[in-house]
Amino acid sequence: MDLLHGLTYAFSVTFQLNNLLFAFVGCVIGTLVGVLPGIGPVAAISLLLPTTFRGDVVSGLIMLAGIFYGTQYGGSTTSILVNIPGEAASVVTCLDGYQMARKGRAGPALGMAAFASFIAGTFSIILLTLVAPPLAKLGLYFGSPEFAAMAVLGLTLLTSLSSGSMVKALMMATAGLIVGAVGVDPGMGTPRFTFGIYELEDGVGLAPAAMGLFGIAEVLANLEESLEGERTTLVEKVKGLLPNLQDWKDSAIAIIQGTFTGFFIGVIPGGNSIIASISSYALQKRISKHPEKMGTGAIEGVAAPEAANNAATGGAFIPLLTLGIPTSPVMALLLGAFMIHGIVPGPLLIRNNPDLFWGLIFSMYVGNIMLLILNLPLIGMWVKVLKIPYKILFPLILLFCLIGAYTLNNSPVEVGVMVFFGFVGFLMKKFDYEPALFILALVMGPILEESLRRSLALSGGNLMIFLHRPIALSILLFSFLLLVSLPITRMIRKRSELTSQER
Amino acid sequence: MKHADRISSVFFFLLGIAVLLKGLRFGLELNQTVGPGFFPFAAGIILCLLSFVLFIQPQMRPRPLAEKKFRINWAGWKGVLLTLLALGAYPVFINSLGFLLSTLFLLFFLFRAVARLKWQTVGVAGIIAAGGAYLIFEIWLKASLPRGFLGF
Repeated sequence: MDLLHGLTYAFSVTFQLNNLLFAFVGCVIGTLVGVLPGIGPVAAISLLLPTTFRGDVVSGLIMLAGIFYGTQYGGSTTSILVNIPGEAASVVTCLDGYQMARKGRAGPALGMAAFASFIAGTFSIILLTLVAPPLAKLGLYFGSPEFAAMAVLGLTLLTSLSSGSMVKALMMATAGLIVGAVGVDPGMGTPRFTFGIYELEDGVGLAPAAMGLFGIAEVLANLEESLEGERTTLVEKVKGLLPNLQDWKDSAIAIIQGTFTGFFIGVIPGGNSIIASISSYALQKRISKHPEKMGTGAIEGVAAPEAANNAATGGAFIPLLTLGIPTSPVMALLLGAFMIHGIVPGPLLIRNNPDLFWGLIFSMYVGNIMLLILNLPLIGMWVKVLKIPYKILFPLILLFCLIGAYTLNNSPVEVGVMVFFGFVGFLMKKFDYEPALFILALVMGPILEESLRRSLALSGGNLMIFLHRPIALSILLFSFLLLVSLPITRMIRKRSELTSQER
Repeated sequence: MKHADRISSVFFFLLGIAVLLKGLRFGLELNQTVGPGFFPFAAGIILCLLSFVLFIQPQMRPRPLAEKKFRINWAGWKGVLLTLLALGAYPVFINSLGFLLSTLFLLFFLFRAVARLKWQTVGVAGIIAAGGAYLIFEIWLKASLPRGFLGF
């Protein structure tokens, strides 16, 4: 099926009433989750994952994808009006967005955030439409050794991009691989680390673990801080959402730059919307004619990160849809949704499930239009949502997580697993460990182990198979070089920081 | 964060030892490919090595850099523990009490004991939230939630 046929087909799939409705529900939930601080896309998608088990897989995935890119839109509202990122990827939007709101320009800031998100989101989907099919063809040359190498690369890249200690990041990846090994071993059927609990024989569920680490842990951390703080919005009623001509002139380069930066960071394994928005903001500051204005309410400081975090969502789908490799916790959850329906995303997805592949991509175009409507004319509604006190909100977040975990298998054990990981995630926050790497390794672990086992079975137990396959060898070499160069580059950076501080 | 890192590194070191020993017991090789214990064994060794590096890292650093401080807000811990207690009890009682009743108790507890809302607010918010969740998940999404001894 070529591109044109694909698009025509996608059009028919997306405009089925059912799929439109699911895309809309996903976008509304996504915006809501984005607006509300304390719950992110990972927790929201984990929570709604079980609802997609029954029913049509295409509609389910369209909804989950809608939540993902919807959160990027919603997150900016809270950043601009309250100076708290509604979603982690909107953290740098606070810098200029809130300053604009303080100067009485909340309307244009919100408007530009929505327009930049829309332009970048749509453009990244065009890039996804163009890049995914040829990349999937390349993926046909991938065998078990290449998949094992890609899993290693994914974990290495995420480690390299983690903000904190590299040793801690590697420890989280290793701990995730260990937890990924829980369950019946696929080779011999030996139960590993199940402690006699029957439900653990299928392994630790990704959804309860993610809900615990990202949903419950966040609530516990907020409870430890304080329940008394109230969110005060700068403006009661937002007016004048349309940016003027000067605003557009100031933001044009930022939007283009943010789109490309975000898209490419989204594609690389380990890159995510948070890194994309921060990198784009930093780049904008470097290329800006007036860098001194950044942070004081410059509209390009809103446009660049908002464009980047939305473009990254489109880019993130590429490795998943073409190679079947999740590059972030959200993509790992979507992989879980595919697997539950017996669909293996990867090079054969376009051929075997064209309705799913093209339907999902095209739904994102429609979803972006829906989000523009949801975020601009309905901004007043989201401002009201922001005023719900956390005292009322946190039991509801917990309740939804509990229901989400229970309905996975109608088993209280899944709830127990979620609560356990909730506490573990809370401790991770306290001890400064990153849960994103843990979750990714939890998904990558079984893929890595299975690919390694198959590769060795193919070669009769000879590890040299990885050296005889050029793609696998190149990927492994790149991962190795990256891992070796990491401590050196970090040390150089820290030393130069120290010297500049001393001066 | 130095002491906190030391504590966590000791924990992960012990975890690594336990995992690698288990891995040895599962078996490392099977028919010219990796056995069920290979992966845990390798991961256990790596975890031990990394924990060791984390433990000795503060001494190796040339001078301390500005870093995050480990902080515990004891006033907030009561809320954390009460919430964990409620969340831990929920799966124990959900099958016998049923979804609606156990959810009502959970919400009443969280709203009252943790959030310290007034009883009227607790009642109204609890009933609306539990009823709403029941309507959405049980009636609309047909999630087959447990019915308990009362039959709902």
